[in-house]
Amino acid sequence: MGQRLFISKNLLRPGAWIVRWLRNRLPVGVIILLLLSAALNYIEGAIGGLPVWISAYLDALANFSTAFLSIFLEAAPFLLLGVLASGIVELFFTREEILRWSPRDPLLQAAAGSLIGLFFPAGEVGTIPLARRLLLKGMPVTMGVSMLLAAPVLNLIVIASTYAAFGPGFVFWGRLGLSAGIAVLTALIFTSSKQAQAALRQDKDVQEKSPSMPAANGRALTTRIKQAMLLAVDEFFEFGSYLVLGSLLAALIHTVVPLPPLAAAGQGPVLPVAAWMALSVLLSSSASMDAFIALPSAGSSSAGSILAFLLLGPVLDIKNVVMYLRVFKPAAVLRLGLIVLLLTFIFSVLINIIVPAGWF
Amino acid sequence: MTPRTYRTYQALILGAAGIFLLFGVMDGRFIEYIHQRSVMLVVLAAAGMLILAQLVLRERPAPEESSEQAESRPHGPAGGNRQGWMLWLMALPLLIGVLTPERHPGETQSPLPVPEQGDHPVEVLYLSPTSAPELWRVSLDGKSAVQLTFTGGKVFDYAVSPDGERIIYAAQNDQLGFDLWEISRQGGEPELLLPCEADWCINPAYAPDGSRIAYSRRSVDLTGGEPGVPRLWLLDLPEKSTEPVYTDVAIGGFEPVWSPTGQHLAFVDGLANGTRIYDFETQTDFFLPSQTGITGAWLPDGSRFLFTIFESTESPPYTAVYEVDLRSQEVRRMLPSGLLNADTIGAADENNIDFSLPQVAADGEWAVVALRLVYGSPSKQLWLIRLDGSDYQLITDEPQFTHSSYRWDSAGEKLVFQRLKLGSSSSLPQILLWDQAQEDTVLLAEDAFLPHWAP
Repeated sequence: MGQRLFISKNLLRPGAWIVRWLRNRLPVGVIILLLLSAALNYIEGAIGGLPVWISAYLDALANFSTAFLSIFLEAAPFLLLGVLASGIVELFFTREEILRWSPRDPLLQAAAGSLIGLFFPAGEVGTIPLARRLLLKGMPVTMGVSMLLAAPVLNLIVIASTYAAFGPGFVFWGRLGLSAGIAVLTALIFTSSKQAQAALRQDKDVQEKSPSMPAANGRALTTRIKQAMLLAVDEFFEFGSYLVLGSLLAALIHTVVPLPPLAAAGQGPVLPVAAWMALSVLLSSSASMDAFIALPSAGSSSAGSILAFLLLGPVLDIKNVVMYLRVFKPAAVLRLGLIVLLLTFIFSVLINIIVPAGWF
Repeated sequence: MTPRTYRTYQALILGAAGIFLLFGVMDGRFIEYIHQRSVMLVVLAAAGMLILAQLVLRERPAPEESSEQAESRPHGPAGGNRQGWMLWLMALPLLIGVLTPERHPGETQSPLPVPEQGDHPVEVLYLSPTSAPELWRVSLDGKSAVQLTFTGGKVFDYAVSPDGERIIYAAQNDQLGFDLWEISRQGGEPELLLPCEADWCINPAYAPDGSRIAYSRRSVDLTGGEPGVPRLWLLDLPEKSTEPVYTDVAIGGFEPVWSPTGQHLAFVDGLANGTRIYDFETQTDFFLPSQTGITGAWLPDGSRFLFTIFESTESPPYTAVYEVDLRSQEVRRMLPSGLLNADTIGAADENNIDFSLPQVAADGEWAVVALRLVYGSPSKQLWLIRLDGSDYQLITDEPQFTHSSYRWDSAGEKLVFQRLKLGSSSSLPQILLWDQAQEDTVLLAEDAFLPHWAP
């Protein structure tokens, strides 16, 4: 009877049934597809050739695999740092302490949030779990958003890499100053809406996985360290799975979509900025590597274009957007992304208009 | 899935990732390691992933469970339980890293298995066809040719290791740059030595001890413009580390040639229009004006270096051969007047002869050189010349062909060279072998170029 009921309900919802059927078989399907690809590759080597479309598929798969592993492996250590910090915050700081240390004025909140990264070099990926932890522990949303957007650049690792690439010149100071400025402005604009306080995800599983444990509860230090580690491992798997999804999506786009033709964008103040912003989103490279990626083009591209790449990439590439969905509701992520895009574009074009070409 | 099961599989995945990372750190090349997967690793990983996938799917609703009941379970609906999917997704990078076939874009892999290294007969390597070059090796009778690379015609140039066992070649990649690959002389699967993305990494040259290579690198920026000035770089083969020879951007570099001892490296500095010789011991160099764009050749003991100078002030201009003594840095004209007298070649004096770069045989006494009369036929013929000027011998006498790319074997007994028929736009280069003892010439390959010896 129960089985008949189960079948009949699914028959009434064929779309859901198909999704469920595909979802249940996806893991085995992926393994079979990869094993089949490996077998085809071996057969091709053994007999000396296969139809062109199979070779093209195997080439595309190899490119996809390389791009995916590069993006994931580059980000995973930073995620590990971030979840460790998140676990420590959860077990060693109380909600009251977080609230007491947070400024009352929104502008000060945004300014303070933009500087947190200086004490926490975890890059863009590691900042996300820490920011969520702090937000769940009572950090004001203005401060949390500002931290989320500034910390990927305003941390010692990225500061050092930008300095090494460009020296203490216009690009270096421009990247630091504008990153903080855009983060503060975005946080203020984002929280000016009445919906801002409801932007955080309130899913049951998020609450379950992020219990706001009181720290000063008399537990032994070793117990708290052990609990912090367990929480870190859980969060590593939770955010890691989103990182895998983001990296898969970024690698897929990287494989399928050609990079924007920077040379074709010309030398005006607007189009090169758009092209460099598109490149930063598509590349999904680490913030610590961005400066070295942009460096060879420093002589041939405008300051605003280079800065657009260095400002946007760390906060709004494909993998980051997927991971933001673990912190904010989709509508909030969309709003946040649009504000950052717009501010980065405006500042970069203004720099292109004000700063003469080749000046930096 | 119970909490204990979840924790167990978390630990397994983290442990597997840790082992991979440990190997990667120890090996210094993580990505390459997971691509050098063994069959056993593939089987184990696939089996593990299948078990994990089954665990992910295991919590489907019992037959008597309604969908509402399934949705209301603590860990979500059937097949979609969040913990299972997290485990599965976190294992996916390992799965993809292990199972995805390693490929070289545009390349089909060699059907040849890689045999064990050992003694091989001396053979000749070359590139063919000219329209889509691949690397080949051929026996000295020209009867047995084997294709070594399968890149879709993207090989640019190559170099043979001093022991003849390995070959480094430059091949174009998807970004229109050139990467450096290494392959066994027997073929098999090549190894990507140096991915260069959009940069052009070409002109590889093995150091005499085989531990590093010099190569020319032309950087391309993200705007996709033309590649920049070629500069000289070194690639340490055991460490896979690479660095430029000069930090001075005013010094260019291509076509590197190592001295037999490995102490000096000669190359063309295109920015200064000449050849530069770098001394690795003193970390100094000296410059030889040349304008021919050809590096030069070392004498077998490495004490002297032959190079060519374009005598453009003469009318008509021609190329002359000079020699520099590395100790005294004294430069003197080679192949002096009277070496090839008017009776032999029809030239009134040496100024009427347009030389190519001589290649000195292993004994250090004889050299082969291509030359022509500046007022005569446009084709260059090969001559065997004793360096002290006491003797000479015509090797080729085919005015319809011009000759180039000539190289002695290690014993200085056989010569491989390239020839091209003049007067026809459709003619294709050929590779030939000249045996000094037999005074015999054998055609090794048609539509082929850039011959090298594989000792």
